Amino acid sequence: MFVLSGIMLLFLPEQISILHMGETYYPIPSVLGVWLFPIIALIVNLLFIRQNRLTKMNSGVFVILLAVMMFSYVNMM
Amino acid sequence: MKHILCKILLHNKTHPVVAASFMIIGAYIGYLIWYILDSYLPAAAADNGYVFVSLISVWLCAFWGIYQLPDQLCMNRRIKMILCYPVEAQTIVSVVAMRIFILQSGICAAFLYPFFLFEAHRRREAVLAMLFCCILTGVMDIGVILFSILLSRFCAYDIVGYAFVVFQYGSFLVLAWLAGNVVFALWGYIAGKSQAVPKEQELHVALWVWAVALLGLTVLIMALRFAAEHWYVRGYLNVQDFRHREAGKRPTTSHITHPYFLLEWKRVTRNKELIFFSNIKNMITVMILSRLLFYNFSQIGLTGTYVEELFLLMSCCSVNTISSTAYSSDDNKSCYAFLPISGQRLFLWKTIQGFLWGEITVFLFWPILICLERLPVLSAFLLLLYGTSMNYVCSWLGILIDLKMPRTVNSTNELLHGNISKVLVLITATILTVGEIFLSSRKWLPVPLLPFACLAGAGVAAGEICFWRFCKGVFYDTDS
Repeated sequence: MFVLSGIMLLFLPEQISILHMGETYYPIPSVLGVWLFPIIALIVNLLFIRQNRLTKMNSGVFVILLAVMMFSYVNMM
Repeated sequence: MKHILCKILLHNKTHPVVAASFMIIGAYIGYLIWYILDSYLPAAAADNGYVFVSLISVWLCAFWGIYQLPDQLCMNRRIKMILCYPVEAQTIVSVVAMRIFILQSGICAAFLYPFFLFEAHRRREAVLAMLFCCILTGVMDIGVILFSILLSRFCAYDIVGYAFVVFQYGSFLVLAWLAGNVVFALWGYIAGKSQAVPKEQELHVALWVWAVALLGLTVLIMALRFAAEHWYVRGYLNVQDFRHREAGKRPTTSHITHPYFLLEWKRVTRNKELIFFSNIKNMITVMILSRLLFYNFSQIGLTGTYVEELFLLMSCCSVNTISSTAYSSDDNKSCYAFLPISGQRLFLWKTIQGFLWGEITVFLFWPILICLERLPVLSAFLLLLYGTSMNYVCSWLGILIDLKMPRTVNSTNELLHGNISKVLVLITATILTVGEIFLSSRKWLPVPLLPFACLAGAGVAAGEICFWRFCKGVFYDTDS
């Protein structure tokens, strides 16, 4: 996810609206915002590790997260 | 010795990669928050943004302390193993508290380090803010430990487990309320503040706050030393008696006709915290969760008749602790691999038990919905059907996730909070319900929302039953 985000950084606009509260969006630079999804995935992964839950199922969770991430990046382009 | 003690008590060694990951996460989140504050805070209030960040970091530290300290000090089964060695109670308390405090200091540092980058000319204030957050966190930690020791020592052994669940969950609610009201009210105050406080007044207030914090810390440390020395061990043993007080009781001879039912019934009734938590606590969780989901999804246009009711019933079903801890809370799990027990049938009985316990919550909320909304008879029965089918779906899924990703814990209490299998069930159920509402609201289906939701729920439940029937091998726990 980190690698794909790094690649997507080349194609994304300078600012992306990844954070919002209701209908108010807070655009942030792509260089900063593009790492938000991988960081969330990293937090989820650490939670799995701390709870001794590293099995095949969490690979599925990360595939879903990756799909959501790519979908949102394609929408922003 | 403290290092060995720490390894025995907490039973986890932080790998350098995990520690590095935590540092990256902290550094990123801290920088992101400061960037947003720096970019979107009105210029007049920009100087006070660090107060808001300090509040968030203290709030997170308090949350972590309340979650970890009572569990690791009063519920941890490993402490019993070392009590027979010449280890002082104060050493046990200090080892556990220091370990948690180090992590909390890391949180404070992660949130406040960008202060040095964004406000390079205010380094003295940055250091003071960091120090103050650490002192405040220390005061709160000692308060939590003291309260836990008092609860464990002075509550009767048959209610002490419930007292801890109420204390922890009540504190989480208070923190959530504080985050929703006090922190954001203060944020509004800071954002709207246009006039700087006079320098003398600022110094006067700062001196008072520091004096009170340091005095509080000193008094609490002295109180903690006294409590740890005189009450801690007896309190800890009192908490252990909550679960095992009937260990010496001789079981009566009986003929077991339904062994799978008995196994599962014993698993649930033995873990008294689970039953208490699943019913009492879930009431509040369901109300908060359903409102949160309804509010957020209505903002993106997912509205319509019965949407609120569907979210409420879906929340009832997805927070089923009995099912999401089906294997993790089962003390007999290690015996199943070598006993002639069918993993498939055991899974079925676990699902049935989880379903029945979850149905209590559904049956509690369903009449309330009927009374408050004055629903037509057909809609009321369709809602009950939806609740029942979703309850089975969520129960089944929770048990499957817990079977495939079992969790090793030091105490049953650890299973009650922050259980990731429950979160996964909630996410799946939300996706299913939102999908149903989305399809219905776009008029892509000829059926109204409620009958469609019932059909979809029943369809998924039928699919799960077929999967259970034909995929036998999935339900055997090969790790135990």
